[in-house]
Amino acid sequence: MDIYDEIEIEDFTFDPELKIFQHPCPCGDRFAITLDDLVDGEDIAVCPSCSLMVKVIFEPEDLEEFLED
Amino acid sequence: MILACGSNGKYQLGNGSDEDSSEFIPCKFLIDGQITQSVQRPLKILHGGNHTMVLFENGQLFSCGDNTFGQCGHDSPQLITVFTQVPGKWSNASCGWEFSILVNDKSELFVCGSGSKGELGLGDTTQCKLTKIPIDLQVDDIQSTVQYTLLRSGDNFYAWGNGKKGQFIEKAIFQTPTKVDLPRSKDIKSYALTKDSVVLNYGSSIKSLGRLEIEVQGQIQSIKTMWSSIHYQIDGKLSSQGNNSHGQLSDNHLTNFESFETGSEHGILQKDQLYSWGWGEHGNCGTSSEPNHDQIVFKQLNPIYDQPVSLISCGCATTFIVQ
Ligand SMILES: [Zn+2]
Repeated sequence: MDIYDEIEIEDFTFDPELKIFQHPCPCGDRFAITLDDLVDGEDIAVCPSCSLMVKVIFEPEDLEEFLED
Repeated sequence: MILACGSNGKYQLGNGSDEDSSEFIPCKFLIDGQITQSVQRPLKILHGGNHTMVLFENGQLFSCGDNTFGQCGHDSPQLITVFTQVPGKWSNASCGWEFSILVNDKSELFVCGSGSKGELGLGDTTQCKLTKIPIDLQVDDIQSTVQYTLLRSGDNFYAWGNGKKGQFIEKAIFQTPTKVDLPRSKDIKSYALTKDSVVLNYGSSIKSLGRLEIEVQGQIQSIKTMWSSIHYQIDGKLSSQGNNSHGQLSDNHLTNFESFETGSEHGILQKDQLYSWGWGEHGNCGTSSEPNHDQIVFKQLNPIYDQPVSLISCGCATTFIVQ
């Protein structure tokens, strides 16, 4: 498994409805990972349209602002 | 005729289909109500995340692909399946992820599409139909990448969008076109943008600002960028620095070639014929005839087209050539 890149969580866009973080993929689609996965300690965001994967760089406390209510 | 292969999920190849293709397929243009493949050699082809623009010498501009946010310069529809003319007379253009910047024949700047990190250059506005950017500048060069734009006006440079990796020197988002004091700006011969770095060519050296910082000395013939790597012809040789996760870095000793172009994570080299290298998962590097090749990572130059071409242009996993 070759990781394409490492991307800091602040460079992802958070969708508050779907509770997912997304970042542009060089194929034209977007890398995505759910907030739940990050909370569970997962850190690999995948693209639905290609095999590329990125590692999300974050600290657990970075998630706090998204975990309200 | 313009031919294209690669990623096509939003009709960005402009051939009327949304299927990816590893073979070159002619691009279709809607001209005077008729679909035609017969067009002149364009001045340039610009590439967004999922949209494409073709600018011709006579000022005509055509676009296709994802128009969800109006990034093709058309009010509707959401998907533009063949190249369709954007009204107006245009002298330059650049495309980012979901936005486009157009320059008309009076050097006025227009923007369309979407961007939440200052990409539109309109302050708080994050989505717009074709709108004039209120700044009066002579535009000598303009280039956009995923989330930002860098414009040259004489010896001055203006940037807007997401510059948080330090590519505008200050680590910041610029909501409107803002003058940036690039080092020795008068001596900059040309520039190119990776997703997070501004690469400056001084003719006898290269310097980049942002996430990928390099400094190179030597006779520089050209610089090109993928999203995460920098490629340059130095003292006649092709050289690369940056991310090599999928074969993106070229052979350091390559000589005797005519030219090369780069897309998001692949390259095309023009020698005796055209060759591809890098990440080719969507058919943008053609097909390798090597046994057991995964058709994803093209570490070796892959012969892709053997007819003469007058222009090569690469986008997000797309390759366009002009016969
Ligand atoms: Zn992808």
